[in-house]
Amino acid sequence: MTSGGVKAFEVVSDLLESDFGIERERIAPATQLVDDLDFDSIDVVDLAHRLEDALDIALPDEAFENVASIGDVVARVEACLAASGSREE
Amino acid sequence: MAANEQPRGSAARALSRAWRFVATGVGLPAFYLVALLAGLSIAPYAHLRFRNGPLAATWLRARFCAFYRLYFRAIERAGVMTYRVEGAWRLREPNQLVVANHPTALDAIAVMACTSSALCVTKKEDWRNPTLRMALDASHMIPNTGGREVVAASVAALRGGESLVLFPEGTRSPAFGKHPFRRGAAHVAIESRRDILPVVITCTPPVLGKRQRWYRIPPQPFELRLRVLEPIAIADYARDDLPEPRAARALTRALDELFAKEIEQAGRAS
Repeated sequence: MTSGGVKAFEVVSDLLESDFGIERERIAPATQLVDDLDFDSIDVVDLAHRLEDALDIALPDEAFENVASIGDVVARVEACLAASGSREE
Repeated sequence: MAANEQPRGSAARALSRAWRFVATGVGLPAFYLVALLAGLSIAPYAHLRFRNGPLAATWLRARFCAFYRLYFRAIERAGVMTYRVEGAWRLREPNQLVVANHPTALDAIAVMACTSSALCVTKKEDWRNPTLRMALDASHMIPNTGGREVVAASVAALRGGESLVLFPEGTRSPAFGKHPFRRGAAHVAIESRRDILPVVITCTPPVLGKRQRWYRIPPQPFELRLRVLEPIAIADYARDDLPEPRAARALTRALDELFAKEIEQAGRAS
């Protein structure tokens, strides 16, 4: 995992714990959002909005389409962070 | 004489069952026919009369709720079922957020029959049904397209002063039980800051469930019973210091436990 990925994973983990009430030990890149964390479509939208606020980024509408695991979420956030970083450069 | 009574009883029971088969066979399509006729007649009239304003849909919903009351009276008179409501007065209050379990195909109209006017989130399939679509559309019912869109439409309806009926299982309940609740209803309650009015619906014996055919007529008329419980205060969940996803999960757990307990108790009692 890149440093951006580590940062994204930490932020995702913090949000899942504080805002969704999910215990830290259940959070890993392979954790499935629907099967393991009982996520629904509203949760996915809420998580995306909270990540945007926490990281001050704008995720495209389609960014979280077909995300299945926490690893997928982290990868999409990491890609968005990298894109916004390269734009700033 | 006792030997004669049993055959006479059996014949009477068979006749009763045959009559209920005919009455059910007429009653169910009659509902769809009335919905179609309403869509073609009073719905356009309402929109003409109220110049397509929101009052048209409210006026229509009030007529539909009155029709549901007549409908239940008619099928009760026909001996198909008994329809009992405990605490109906609570449903007559305006601007209620009603949450119910969903054992039969009659649940939505059974709840709305107790209200003066109510909206309901209805399954997408109903909007593809040509006999229902016009009436649903004209009365501004909310199609269950899923996710945030439905929550936003539901919150707007409640803020506009309407009553709203939700079935958080998302489909009909299994016989003598329930599916886990989805969290949409909790989000609606938290965002609109409305207390929840729980309605526990039981049907004895179970009929008109998800995979039950209407022509499987039970040995005796079925009883559809609605129990309107004490409202659930939303203030414990809609708090600024509690993130909404976390609050929605906690509220849904509380609703799940309440309904599971009530359905189990009702099952034991029956």
